[in-house]
Parts: sequence; structure tokens; C-alpha cells
Amino acid sequence: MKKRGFIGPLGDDIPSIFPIVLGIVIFMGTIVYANGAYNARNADLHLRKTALELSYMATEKGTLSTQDFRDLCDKSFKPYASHAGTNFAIVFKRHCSKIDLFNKNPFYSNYSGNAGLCTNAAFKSPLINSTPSMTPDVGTAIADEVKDAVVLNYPIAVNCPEENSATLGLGVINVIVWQK
Amino acid sequence: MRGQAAIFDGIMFLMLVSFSMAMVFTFLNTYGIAQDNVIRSSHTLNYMQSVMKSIYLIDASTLAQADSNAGDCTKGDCQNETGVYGEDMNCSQLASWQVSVGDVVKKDLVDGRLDDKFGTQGAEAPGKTALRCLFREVMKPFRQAGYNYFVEVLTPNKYKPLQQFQEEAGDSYRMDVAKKTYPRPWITDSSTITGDAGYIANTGDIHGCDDPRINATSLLAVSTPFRVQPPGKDDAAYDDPAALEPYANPVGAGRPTGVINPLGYQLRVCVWPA
Repeated sequence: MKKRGFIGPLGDDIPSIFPIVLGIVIFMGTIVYANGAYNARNADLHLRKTALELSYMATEKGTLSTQDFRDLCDKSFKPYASHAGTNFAIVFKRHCSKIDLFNKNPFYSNYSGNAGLCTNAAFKSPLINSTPSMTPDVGTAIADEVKDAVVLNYPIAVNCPEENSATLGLGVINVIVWQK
Repeated sequence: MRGQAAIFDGIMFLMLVSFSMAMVFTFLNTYGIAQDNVIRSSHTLNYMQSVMKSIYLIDASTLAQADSNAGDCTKGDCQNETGVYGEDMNCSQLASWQVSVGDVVKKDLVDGRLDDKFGTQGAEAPGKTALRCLFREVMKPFRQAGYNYFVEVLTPNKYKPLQQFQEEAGDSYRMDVAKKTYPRPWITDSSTITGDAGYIANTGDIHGCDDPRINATSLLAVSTPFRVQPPGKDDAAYDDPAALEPYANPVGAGRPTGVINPLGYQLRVCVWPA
């Protein structure tokens, strides 16, 4: 006996297959997107926490000499960044009389002829930490090698006007962290 | 009938998927916000700690060049901020003060006033100028990031701001005195402070971290104890009734006889998005 409109046990469900497949595709797409966004946000939080930890180490005493900075670089900054699996650059700038924020290349450390750069990254372009101002060439080089960096700046007391002076003046620590 | 039921199943499944997606996106929207806020607050607190440390460490004489009109634009150093801090911050008067900013501020605060002098005889103690010049420099990164700041000294009794033109600190902060020395008497970069008139009671400019005109939902204030040793028992300041404010001389007239306790001030810095 033939049932009217019956096209088989599977055939009868064919109309529902399209919304079900569509739903599965959308659901899977959502999961993939959510996973990517979740990982990206975690990575961002991890970078910022790493930058914060490094800045805690750098600003703990409130003052730094060049020798202190080198010691911290070898004993604290590099091991911590290595453990965290990130690239970093900490730039120690002695300004002394007034803080010059218009020295726009954040990687340039040779301010006042005596300061420090601590990094675990090998820059391909020598422009990055040797050119004081943010010229287009420097900007391009930094953009090529440093992706989505977290930058934190802190004031710090430094020996002024010379490295071996007893008085302390104005200095700045730039903490820059980015993904490997 | 079966076909309709199957389509209904499919639509129900799509609705279930939509609900799941909504939950996933809701999670994504809220995930990390709390951590983000904590990290931002931690950064701000660490910055404020660095600033407070710099008060105790940085030599006041090194701030002599940190004036609002400092910088030479022709050499790529455009740091002229007279529009924010006024024409002259008098930072140059700090050149001879080879002690920390904290020491200068303490010397200024011994008499219970933050007014650049000790007592009423005009003994120089440019604590307020030193604070203004220091904050002008150390808050640059924060200001460039789009924040305003305010610094105030509080007394422990009800934590009353010393800068307000009222009650016990009123005489030392008369408008003419403030105008004479500071075109803009407050230690702040708030752009809402305009002109040379300074603070006008009730209708004036922002006068403290508690000012309701500051967007309080995004204001972060950090306070730190700032203890100042008052003059010794034999100091001549006790002979002049007007030399010390009541808070700095709780004994009143005459010289103290018992133990002199340190004056427990608080330094409060607040920042908020411009």
C-alpha cells in the first residue's frame, strides 16, 4: 500500500537537513571564532601582565644607576621574559633637567650619552635602537619587527648630571613587550 | 505532515544554535574585562608609586629648568605648556635647593600651610613650587595618554584639603597671595582651570579629588602618608602665634612641653580621563 507524500524514512527529513547543516556550520564557525578571540584576549592579557611584572622589577627601588640596570637586565628581566615566552625591550633614559617626550623612538636608549637598553630580541634593522627620532624609516622598521607591543612608561630617579653624580634627577623607564 | 515536522525540527535547531551563539558572544564580550581593569589599575598604582618615590628621591635643584615655557621648538623640543600651567611656574627658584623635593615640601608644610614659605615672616620654602614642577615632569607620560591629575595635601582631621580657601588654611591662601606667586595655584593640569583668578569659592574651578565635577566613575586616587616633624620645643616659631596653623601647633599658645608628635599629612594624587 502506497502512502501519499511518503518518500522514504530519510527522504521525509530532507527539508530539515538544510537548516540543521546551516546551524552546525554557524555553530562551528562561532566556536572557531570564539576560540580565536579567547586566545587573542588571553595572549593580550599575558603580554600586559608580563609588561607589568617587568615594570615592577624596574621601578621597585624608585632609582636606578646604569650598573643597577645592567644587573637587573641579566638577573631579572631576561630570565622572566624568557620564562614568559615574550620579547621585550626595557629602555632606561636619563633626562635630568626635563623629560623629553618628543624623543619619539621608544627604543632609542642613548639619551644624554649614558643610559641602557635591555632586550632579548635581535633587531634586524640597526635603525631601531640607534636613531633618536621616529623617522619614517625607523617607524617602518619597528612595525616590521615589533607587532602589537605593549608599552608602559614610568618616571624614575637617575644620577644627574653625570652617571657618578650624587644628586638624583629625572629619568624614564620604557617597558615594551611583544609576542615572539 | 512529516515534512512540516522536520522543518519545525530544523528551525528549532537553528534557534538552539542562535541561543548558543548568543551565550558564546556574551561570554566573549565580558571575558577579560575584569582582568583588564585590574591590570589598568595595577599600572596606574605602580605609576603613582613611582611618582611618590620620585618625591623622596629627586633633587629639587634638578627641576630648575622644568618650567612651563621650557623647550625650544626650533630644535624639535616643543614642550611649551604655558596654556596648561600658566606663564611662569618659577621652577628656576629651585636651583639652590639641593635636597629632595620631599624635604622641601616638608619644610613648607611644617607650619601647616603649603604656601612656599615657612611661617609668616617669609622664610623661603618652595615646597609647592617643587611639587608643581616635579609633577609637571613626571606626569607627562600620563598626560600624553589623556589623563588629568590633581595633587593635594590632606590633614588627618577629617582629611580636609589644605588647598581650600577656607577655615584654618584660609589666611595663607588668600587670592592675592596665590595670584602673586602662582598664576594657577593648584597642582594640577586640569584644563578647566582658566585665567589667573585661581580658585573661586563655590563657583570656582576644580579644587580637589572629591570635587563632584570630576567624573568619579573613572577617577583613581592614591594617598600616601607624609609625616612631617614639627619644630623643636625651643624653636622661636612657637613664640609667634600666627607662625603655625592650629594643626601644626595643637598645644596652642606657648611652647609644647611634652612629646611632639609628627604631623601626619597625606599626599593624595588623583587621575581621571581628560
